[in-house]
Amino acid sequence: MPHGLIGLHAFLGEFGIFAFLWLFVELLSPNAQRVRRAKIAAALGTLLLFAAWLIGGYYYVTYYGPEVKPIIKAGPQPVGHSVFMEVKEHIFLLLPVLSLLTLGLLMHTDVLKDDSSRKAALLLSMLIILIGLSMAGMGYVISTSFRAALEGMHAVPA
Amino acid sequence: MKLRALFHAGIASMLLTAALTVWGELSAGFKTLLTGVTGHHWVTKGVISLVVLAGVYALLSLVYDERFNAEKETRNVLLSAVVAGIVISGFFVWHFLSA
Repeated sequence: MPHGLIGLHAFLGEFGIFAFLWLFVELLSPNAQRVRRAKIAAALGTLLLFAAWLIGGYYYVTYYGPEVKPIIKAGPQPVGHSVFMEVKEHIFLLLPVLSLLTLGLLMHTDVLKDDSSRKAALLLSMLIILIGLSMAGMGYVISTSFRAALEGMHAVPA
Repeated sequence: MKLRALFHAGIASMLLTAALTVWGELSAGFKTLLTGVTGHHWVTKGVISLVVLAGVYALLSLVYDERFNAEKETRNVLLSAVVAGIVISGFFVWHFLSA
């Protein structure tokens, strides 16, 4: 049974990414109402990504490090930790920064009058979405590596 | 808000995160130092990324005027994020394959 905090971390992270996808769609053809909604999406997405950081970080430090990491590293797919978890935990640190930049840009420029700011917000949100999707993919690989290690531990010798 | 200062602070934060990550893996002493600050090296790197974002923004806000070229600054932010991502990913792949 996966730890409950993993589910909460994934939920917060994925909905944070959805918020930036929402922002992206609103800014494709903006009007005053869509820009207002895009600002709400940016603020919501930033909050959700920070919450995902806190929850995921707490799980990582208190449970994953002492209990899951040694099992993955001793299992048949140590790459799940040694590459995917290491890359995931460090590239994740870019997301809160990028979300704050996007939020600042939207709050302090007029994307209806300044098309370069609108395109900048689209590009930043697209980068956040792509990094977020890579986080989900790496999370899947890490879970698979853990499951493979557990299956190896509980396998009955022939 | 001075957006040029914010974007440059973001670039500093992301590139420093990549540098601290690689340095911490290459130097056990430096990793121990990072761990000693908060109890976990990854938590320290996260705290540093936010402190650098806020600190560099505060400093640059004193120096910069209100000019902001969204296209140029965003291109630099995207480039920095891609470089940081490649450095982090490339390092851990190399580290795993060479172990």
